Amino acid sequence: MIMSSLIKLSLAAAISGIAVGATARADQLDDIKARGKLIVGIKNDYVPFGFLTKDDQLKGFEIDLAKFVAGALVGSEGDIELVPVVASNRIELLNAGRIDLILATLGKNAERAKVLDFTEEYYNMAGVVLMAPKETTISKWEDVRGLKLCGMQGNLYNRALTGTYGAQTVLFTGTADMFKAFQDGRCAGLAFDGPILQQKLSDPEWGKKYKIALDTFNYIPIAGGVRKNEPRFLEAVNKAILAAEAAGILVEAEKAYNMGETEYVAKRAADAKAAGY
Amino acid sequence: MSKETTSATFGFFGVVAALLAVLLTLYGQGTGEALRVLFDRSSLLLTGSSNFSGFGGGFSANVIISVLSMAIALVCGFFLGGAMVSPNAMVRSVAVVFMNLLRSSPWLVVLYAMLYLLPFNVSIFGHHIFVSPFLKAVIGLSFPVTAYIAEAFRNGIHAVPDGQWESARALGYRRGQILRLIILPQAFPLMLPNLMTTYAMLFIGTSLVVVTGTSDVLSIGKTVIASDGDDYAAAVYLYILLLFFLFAYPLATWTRALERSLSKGK
Amino acid sequence: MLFSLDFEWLADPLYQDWLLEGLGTTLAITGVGTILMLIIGVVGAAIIHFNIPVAKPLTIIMIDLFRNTPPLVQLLFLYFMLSDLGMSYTDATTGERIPLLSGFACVVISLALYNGSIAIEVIRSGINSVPRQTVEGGISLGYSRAQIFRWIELPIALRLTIPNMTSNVVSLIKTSAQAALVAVTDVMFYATQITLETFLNLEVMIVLWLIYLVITTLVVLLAKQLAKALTIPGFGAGAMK
Repeated sequence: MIMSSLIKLSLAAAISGIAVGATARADQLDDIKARGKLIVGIKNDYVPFGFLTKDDQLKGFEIDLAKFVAGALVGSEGDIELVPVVASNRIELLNAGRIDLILATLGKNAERAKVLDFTEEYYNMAGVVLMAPKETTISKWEDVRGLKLCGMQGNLYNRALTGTYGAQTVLFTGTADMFKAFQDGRCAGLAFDGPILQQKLSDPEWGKKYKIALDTFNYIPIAGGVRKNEPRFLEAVNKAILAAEAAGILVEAEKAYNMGETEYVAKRAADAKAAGY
Repeated sequence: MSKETTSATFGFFGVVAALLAVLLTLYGQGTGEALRVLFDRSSLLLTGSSNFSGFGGGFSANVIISVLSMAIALVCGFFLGGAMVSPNAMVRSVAVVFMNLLRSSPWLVVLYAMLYLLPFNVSIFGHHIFVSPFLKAVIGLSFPVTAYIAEAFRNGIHAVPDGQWESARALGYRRGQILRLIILPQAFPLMLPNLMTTYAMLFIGTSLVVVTGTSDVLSIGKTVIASDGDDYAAAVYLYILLLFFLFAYPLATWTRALERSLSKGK
Repeated sequence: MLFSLDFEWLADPLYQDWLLEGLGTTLAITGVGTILMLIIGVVGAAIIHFNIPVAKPLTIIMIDLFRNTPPLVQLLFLYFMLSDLGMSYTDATTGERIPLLSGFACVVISLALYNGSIAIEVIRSGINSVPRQTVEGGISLGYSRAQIFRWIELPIALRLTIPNMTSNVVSLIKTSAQAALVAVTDVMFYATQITLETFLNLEVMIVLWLIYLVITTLVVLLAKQLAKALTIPGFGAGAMK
């Protein structure tokens, strides 16, 4: 075993040797302009934030925002590459350079601020809510102790569900798997982002069987994420997001994707406009 | 028809019929609707783009990844296998340990490890090379496969009678020349069924690249399920099973035929 | 980069618990999976050997299907579809339909079917390499076909195929890592959870890699001992090299 771990370490060393030579790059904003496109990590299984339409097009609240930002930074809305990410890989993809910017329902918090820089926030998401069958007996978060709750890997509130409330989480990597497992009856409830579950209930088949049993115990501001130490790029993205808000892009998107017209988005639009963006 | 052809045909239609039977049991009256969804999404699942306008995603990504991984693994496996039959005991044992190490690693763990180990940008001579998840998947899968190929290679060399080495040495050939000019041409046909089985295994293993963020057929399948509703999840998974089967089964049949003709030739 | 690897998280008692718990699940999955896989292998080989009507063609279709499609897709199908096919029961207290098979059971079954299909072929090839004379010896002693299978062909075949069966068990252990993708809390799942909390992806994956390596190495060593203990004097040694 000592022999084999030595070999493994030397293998890792050999490969990481390549990695060391990989840094030393110019300013990111210049890179993007030279490349002629902005690469944005978005969700594609996340109605209404980012999803695939019947004719195989990506649409959604964050897709509209991403296109606007690309237009502001590079030149036109078409100068963009949309890379589908999930909660469990978006930060790696960003820090490893695969994407320039995360616009994928990324909640602001202190842990993440250690590994990336947040942009201006653009949405206030009801954090975790609990969906359950209509006849459920769960009436408060304390009731979930010992119950199986379906959810998604990579959401920070999972820790609170198991720690504070003593639930047993059953965590998946994608929403398709998570919804299917819940529908199959593998969990007593589905603990997930509020807007997504709200949207899901608008499907008559779901609305018939399920309800939002518990409201969130926290609201999370959603912001974009960029790599640390790229001040010029961060500033440009921030300006673009504020400009998108001022131009009413997000107010329109909320309407277009049936998300309900929130005070938060309207207020940010008015503020951005007042600040002259 | 020969006995082998009959049994291969039976297996082929038997599996297709079994998958269809499951689809019918699941959807009953709704089978037509399920098939329509699959038909509408076929282009996406097969090529990763709508209306067959592009290439390189979906099932075609699985095929391309498997071919590229195999190419890398063949080259690396050739060298590793060569080291495993080296006259130098030290080189030999290091190579054998390394082969065993690669062979006993779970593919999923290797894929995850490669995802984090490899950088996304590499500069070589001032050129920025972008290491996409696709490329990482290719490299990640080629690691364990290299081990299988090295082993097949070693076994192939061992299958060539020692007398061949001795007479070649007597004719004044060097070790590398003997290996390349005399042993390999004889060993290769013996290795071929083994290599093909390895390729089939690799091809089937490409389903795991779903964890690297590549738009392979399974990732796209999940996206389709997320957009079209969970009702069609079964149909999508059955479709993916069928795609893999349609590709892998003829390969397996061909491999068996090769094996038979080899054992007859003995 | 190598020298800045951070393994301090290994000292965190929570993460230690997670890894140990995950390891327990992984061992349970692979243990039960291996037993089931061997049963499927022997039964399947017998069905084909005795040419049992209906069962034989079904077994062959099963082998062809499971060997030529990805085990991950098989697992996803089992996990998500069996309840659609009616494999569910009604909970007496809540009146809800609940899938009959837990995630754990689905993983074990899927591994048993996938590696069991390989096991059937391994055992069959073992039976084919039992020398003709040995079988004829059994016939001349008045054994029935079933007795010959039970007392002569199967025991010799199982011993002859220990090396191939070992790689099949190793393959099962490696494949079991996909359990994490259907939310079964094996060692892979907890390792992913740790990376999501600590962002120390590479370090966690290296530890995980080592864990699997230790398990598979132990299995291989165990199989070697078993092969040695069961050597048939005078033959079969060639297959164990």
